Amino acid sequence: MTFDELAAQAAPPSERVLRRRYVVRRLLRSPTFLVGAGIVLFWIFMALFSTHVTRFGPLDIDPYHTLKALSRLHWFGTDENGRDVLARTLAGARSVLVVAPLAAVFCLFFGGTIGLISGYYKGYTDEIIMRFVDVLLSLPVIVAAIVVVSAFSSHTQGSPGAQAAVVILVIGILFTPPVARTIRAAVVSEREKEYVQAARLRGERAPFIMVAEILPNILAPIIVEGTVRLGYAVFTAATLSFLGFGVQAPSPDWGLTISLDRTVIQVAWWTVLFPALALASLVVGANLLADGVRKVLSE
Amino acid sequence: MTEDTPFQQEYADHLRHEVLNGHMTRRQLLVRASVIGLSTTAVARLLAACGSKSAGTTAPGTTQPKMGGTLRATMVSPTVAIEPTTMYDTGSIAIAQQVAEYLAWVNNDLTLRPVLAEKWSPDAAAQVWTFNLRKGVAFQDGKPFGADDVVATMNILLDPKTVSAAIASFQGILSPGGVVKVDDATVAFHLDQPNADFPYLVASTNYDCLILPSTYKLGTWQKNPVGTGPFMMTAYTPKQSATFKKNPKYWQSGMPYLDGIQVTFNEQTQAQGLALQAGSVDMMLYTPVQGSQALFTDPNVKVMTAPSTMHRELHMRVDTAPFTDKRVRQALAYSIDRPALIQALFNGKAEIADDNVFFKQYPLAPQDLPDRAQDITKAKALLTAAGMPNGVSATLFVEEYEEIAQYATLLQAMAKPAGINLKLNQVTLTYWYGSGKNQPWLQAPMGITDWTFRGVPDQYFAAFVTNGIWNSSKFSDPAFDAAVKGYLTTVDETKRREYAKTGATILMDATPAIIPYTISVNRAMRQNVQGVTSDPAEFLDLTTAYLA
Amino acid sequence: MLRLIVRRLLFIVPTLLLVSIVIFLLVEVVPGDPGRVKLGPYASAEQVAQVDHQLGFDRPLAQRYVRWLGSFLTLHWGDSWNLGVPVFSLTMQRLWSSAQLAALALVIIIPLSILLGVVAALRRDGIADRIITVTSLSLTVIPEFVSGVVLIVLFAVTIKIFPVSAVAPAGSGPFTRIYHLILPAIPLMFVELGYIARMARAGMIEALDTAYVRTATLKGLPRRRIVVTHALRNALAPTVAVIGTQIGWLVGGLVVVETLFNYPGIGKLMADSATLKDVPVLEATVLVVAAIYMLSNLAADVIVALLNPRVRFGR
Repeated sequence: MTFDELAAQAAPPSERVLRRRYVVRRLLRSPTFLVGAGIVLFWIFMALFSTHVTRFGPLDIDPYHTLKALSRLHWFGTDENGRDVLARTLAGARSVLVVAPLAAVFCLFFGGTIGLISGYYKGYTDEIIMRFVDVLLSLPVIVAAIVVVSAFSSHTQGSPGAQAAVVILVIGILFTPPVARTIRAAVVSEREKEYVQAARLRGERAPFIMVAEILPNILAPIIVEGTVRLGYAVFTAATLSFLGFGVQAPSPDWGLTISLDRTVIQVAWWTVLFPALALASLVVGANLLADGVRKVLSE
Repeated sequence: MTEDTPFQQEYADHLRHEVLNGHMTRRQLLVRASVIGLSTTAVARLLAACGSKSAGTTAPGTTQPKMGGTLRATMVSPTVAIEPTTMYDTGSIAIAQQVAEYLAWVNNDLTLRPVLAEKWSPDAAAQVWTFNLRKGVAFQDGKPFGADDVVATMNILLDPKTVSAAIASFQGILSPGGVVKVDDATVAFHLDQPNADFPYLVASTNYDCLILPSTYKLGTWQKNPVGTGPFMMTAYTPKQSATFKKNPKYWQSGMPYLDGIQVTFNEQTQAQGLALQAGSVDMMLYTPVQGSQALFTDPNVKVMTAPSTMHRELHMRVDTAPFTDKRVRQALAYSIDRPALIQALFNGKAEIADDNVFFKQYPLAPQDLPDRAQDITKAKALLTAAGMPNGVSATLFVEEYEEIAQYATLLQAMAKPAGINLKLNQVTLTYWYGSGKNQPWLQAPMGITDWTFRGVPDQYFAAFVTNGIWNSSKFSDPAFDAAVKGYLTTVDETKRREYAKTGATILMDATPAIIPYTISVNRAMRQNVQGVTSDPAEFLDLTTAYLA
Repeated sequence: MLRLIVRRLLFIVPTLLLVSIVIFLLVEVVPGDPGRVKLGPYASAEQVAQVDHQLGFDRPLAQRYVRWLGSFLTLHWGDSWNLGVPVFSLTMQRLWSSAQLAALALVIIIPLSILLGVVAALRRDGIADRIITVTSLSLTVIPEFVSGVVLIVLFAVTIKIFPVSAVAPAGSGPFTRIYHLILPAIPLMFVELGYIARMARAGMIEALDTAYVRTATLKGLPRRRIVVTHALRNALAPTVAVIGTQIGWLVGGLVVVETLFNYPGIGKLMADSATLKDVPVLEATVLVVAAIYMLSNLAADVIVALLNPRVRFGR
């Protein structure tokens, strides 16, 4: 081992590493974060492995035991096709947990890019971009999402992948404005700092400054926005599939199941109650997670 | 009432032999007797000769009907403007049938009840049918009813330009010009070939055959509803409501008992059921099991049931891959667990059917063909024999109607282990039936279509004969065409039974369509509604209805 | 004040125009041939061409848009493809039904949330505060159809205190109709509760901390009077602002709640027309909703300005 390597080993960790360790420690001490993360991780696990955990598969029909109440065999009862409600409730996490996180990533990407450009360049560019962003805000999210998904439905007919892609993109684009605003504000306050001036003086090009210099320093608001948007994305994706604009049967998706089974709510309340509670728990969990992250990162 | 013709008397004798030889039950006897138009005295004599003690089926003694009141009903809305000569959807039919009437009505037990025709009889070859019309009947606008009106209505229905659903039933049997006025109260139908079931084709089961005045102009019915029926339509708002008032000059004296009917349209079964439970309506036209489960246990509601040959036909185009080989079609048929479907979809209120239209309810249908039970191994073997050991894939069009979406979901799950991968494509009724020359249900490679009850299987043949108007599977087999022709043109019951068996066997073997069940039709109403039963075709006859 | 309103209106008009273009493109252009969409894959080319011509699809795009916009502005909204009735009266009818539902929800929840927020602020960091904050925030994030079905299962199916149907029988009096509307209004109230209560609490806390209030307290003025007359007034401004921003979620909530309860409002009309591809209805309802959304945001901002002189005179 050379002297330099030894020296490097003995040197204290950089500021960033220290801060990261501190943040992680604080997160692990925050009950809000822990509960939220716990719930979300539970559902991620279920989205991936539920079929290995439950006795029945989410698509296994049993025509002789339809709409049966809770029993030792079927802990959550059966639906109108005799399918096990517990299996379907646990498996229902999958569709939401594919769409919502991807949508959140997209809106972070779009919103982050717009926020960076708008915040860095100021002036005219900033004005125009933010005006366009405001137009996106002129329609309630659900309404705009319905119109767009319905518009593309004739092209995505028969292809669940394409349908999912449309939903992801729509939610991602519609949530861009709040993300863009937040990032823009963060960029505006970073722009005047020394290291940015230094980079400018060095002759670095604007894109480089935005991505390599500013971006690493605004990770905190980005992460906070991401987790907040995740909660909204879950809400919106589930609402869209409830209204019939998301995934199609026979998927055990929660919104879809509630939409289809509300006709039997009087005789088989379990078919809708359990997916509803599952969805509620995921949404609350995602929001708790976001809350915890926000509290810690804004210290 | 005129005496029976010599042919009718000879036929009565034939029927008596059939019963005494054990080939026909008493119930089947009554049906055939009513079709041939035997007088009631002849029927009574027949029953006595067959060893029956009772005088026949009479309606159970009901309480004294109460006059007055308005019945509030809910049903699905007519899908297009109401035109009796071309209508085919439940809503339009229910509305039109309150105002106009047929020559005869098909009862729940398949016998024929004379309405605008008092009596009918065939000639010796059963090729000329003479109908004696009821006298003293008038349309609601005052115009007297007579032979001219029957001839005019029939000519509209037979005109290819009208595009009536009735044409499919008349194809090859009755042509324009075949309906002849004999005198003001008699009409003769000169058929293209003998037909022993003809009266059904001008009765309610051929639902476009409502008799309209000779002056009627196509397309004007919704604005100016005409007919001889018990109710007059006084208001109609599309997709919303329809209002009817009692016809004070109705030819059945003393009826209808009700003062009027108020219809509210609602597309959703659950909403209809909720309204019924809450008491804001008195009756639901049709109560599918799915979505109405709560009604069956509600003490304020009673559900009347009528066995029916209503069914769903899943056709597979025999000229399109992968269904060109009949073994592939058979494989799908063998992958289905029919009793399971019936249990899941109808809580058991349905009968198993075997992929052919000679349903067991019909008097002449074969009763002893084996049911097709689920056999996944056999299904897989059939696919391998057809050269597709790794299975097949296909897109199934599913019309959004009652339990059909759920049927498709169950079918998809049942077909998978056999190697048949179905992708479901759900479409609306309006899209599926289309209009004019564009009718997806006749063109899609694979789809599920709903078929209503018919008094005789004759009206289903158009789906399977070569170039049949309703042939969505494009099935064509000269042997089947011959069996059908023989069935329709022969009068001898035994021979007809043989032809039916041949036809059923051919269809089961070729399997151009999957027909796993026939549904019993439910009708939910509040306890105080009397004098109405359920109807195998969802038809609504409120002539004897009253509110207790 | 007037300048503020005029400026905002001037902004709304071009935005609405832009929105109308986007909607026109999305509803009439993106799906492709309307003839093909209406008739399906099995129609012949001539039949598709015939329907296209009927709907004016074969004309140039700009011309179609202008004609459509013109007829829209003159209130000639055409007939619904699905229901066959004039779109204008249908939309207005449904709008009125939705307004009743929304009004019921807001009339109950706005005072209630403000009250809860104020109580939480007055008992800051105490148990009442924790409970109110946690409960309201949890209820807010739950999708309306989720809380809706739970409410139906609990209060309409199991313990039958409320009806399952949101539509009262024809001819019912106002109280019966309100009774039927309570269950559908609750999910809307849940969503608004969290935001309004939180804003009221924050505004109240800020107002309580001002020098003015501290002086008044020291001078011995009764606490209640301070709270009601001064602090509350200042807490209201951000609260109203929040209500304004929540209108969007309220509208989305109406769509969901009306669909769940089968209530014939404009939200359900919009969702149905999108599913059934009823083009004239979809275009009309979306534009109406957009206009209402923007105007109610403006109204909320005006109220805020009225309540808060700082905003009124611009920053």
